[in-house]
Amino acid sequence: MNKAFDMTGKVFIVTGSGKGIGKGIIRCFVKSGAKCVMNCNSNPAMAQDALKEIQAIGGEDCCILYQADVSDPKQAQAMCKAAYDKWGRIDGLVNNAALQKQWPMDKYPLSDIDLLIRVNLGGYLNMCQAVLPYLKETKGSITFISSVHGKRPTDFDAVYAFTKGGMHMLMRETAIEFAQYGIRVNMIMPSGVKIEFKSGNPQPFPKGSIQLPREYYTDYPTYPLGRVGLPDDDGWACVYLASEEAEHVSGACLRVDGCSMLK
Amino acid sequence: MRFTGKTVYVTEACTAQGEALAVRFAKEGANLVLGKGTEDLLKTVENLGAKAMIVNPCIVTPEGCEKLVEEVNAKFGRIDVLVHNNNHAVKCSVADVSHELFLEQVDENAKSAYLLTVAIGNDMAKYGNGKIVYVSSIHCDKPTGSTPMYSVAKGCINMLCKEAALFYGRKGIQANIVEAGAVEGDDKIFESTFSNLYIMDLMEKKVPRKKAGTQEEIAGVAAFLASEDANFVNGSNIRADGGFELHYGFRD
Repeated sequence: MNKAFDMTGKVFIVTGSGKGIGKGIIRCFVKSGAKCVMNCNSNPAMAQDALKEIQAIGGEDCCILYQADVSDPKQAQAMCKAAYDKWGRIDGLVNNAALQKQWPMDKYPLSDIDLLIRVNLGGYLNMCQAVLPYLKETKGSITFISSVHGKRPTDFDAVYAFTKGGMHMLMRETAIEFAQYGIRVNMIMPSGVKIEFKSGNPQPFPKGSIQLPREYYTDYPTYPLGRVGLPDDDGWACVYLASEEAEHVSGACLRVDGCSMLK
Repeated sequence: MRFTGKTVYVTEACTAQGEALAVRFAKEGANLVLGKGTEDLLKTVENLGAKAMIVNPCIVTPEGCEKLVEEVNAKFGRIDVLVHNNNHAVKCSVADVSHELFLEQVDENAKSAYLLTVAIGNDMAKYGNGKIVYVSSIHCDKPTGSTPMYSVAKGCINMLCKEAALFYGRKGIQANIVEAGAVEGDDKIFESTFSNLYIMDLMEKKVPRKKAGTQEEIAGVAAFLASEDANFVNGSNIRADGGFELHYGFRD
């Protein structure tokens, strides 16, 4: 009997997981038997709904919601402590909380450049630092959610790509430094992902997400595999990278993009 | 004399790399704008026949960058080439680096590149041509194990260059990166037990030719990218490290 990817008894923190890719990651960890901390910052009401959805899958005790701004080192530390206090261990972190502002390259306000540096880079760094003492105990793992735009420019949000480029190097530096503790650090590069509320667009994602309406296949001609990404595509990749089956994988980037970057 | 009549702005001209860049461009006929340049360097490039000026702009604010463009334009008319040469690496670790040092390293090494690219790129766009060269590092790709926040900033520049290559490329401007590596003195700052490249005194043996690079050699690559010879090179990284980064530890 293949018991690969069994996460029973393990605890994960996923930042920015009250919706979108983060929620998909939580869903996949919970389906694999893990306990999770769902983190939100700007939209706690939506995260409450997401929490109920996750608890319906894994039971009341499978997930807690923790509101924190990860760009503040103290809040990052408090969230890790809350997870440890609740379950007595932390096995992994998924750094996912990031922002996009989509200003033209020459019209980016300095305040938004600074905000993206603080959240997309500073938030990932803060969480790596905050979770380190706990991961030393479990020889756990860290997974960064980056983007294909860490390698390929966006042409619509230069500062977002700028921070994703920095994130690639933060992942590599963290991987080489934390290897001495047996902690692995990897990265996923998703392509466009269909989420509930992307970029302020209030169109809800249709239910039964894997069985997409036919038009989704034809709407995305840039994806050789025929459809845009879904949160769970990235979620299962995270489960693999966090699993014991990936114990020799560190400092790696896994593109989860329907082959779109090669088209 | 590929740069006769052209104005080249070199940031951090006070560093060894900045001086080598300034001298190289002066020898090829350019007017020089020396960011944080010294009086000695000013004299050196003037003796080579260059018209030159020293500037000390605040390059971490859009206003500072725009003021710099005005100041240079008043003297030379325009900037033809931006050479971003901010390479200030501070030893730290991911585990212990302070939030302040993280921000300082990213602002100084990368945000300055973004803001200068926009301010100078917008001015170059009026003429429909211009070159932007980022003197970066092999550590935009290979971690150092000793200066992680510097690597983060260099990673930012990788993507800045590609975005600029598209956005300003449509306005006739090319943006490219020199990934400099294994230049004399690097083993001091990048010494690390995590990286095969900089374990103590073996650095020079790890360059296949058994000799570290020089600032002049890096300046030569930057001059190529800044010249019309590189008109079809856009959004590229040229690794200039003598093959150093390919070393992975099996041989001395």
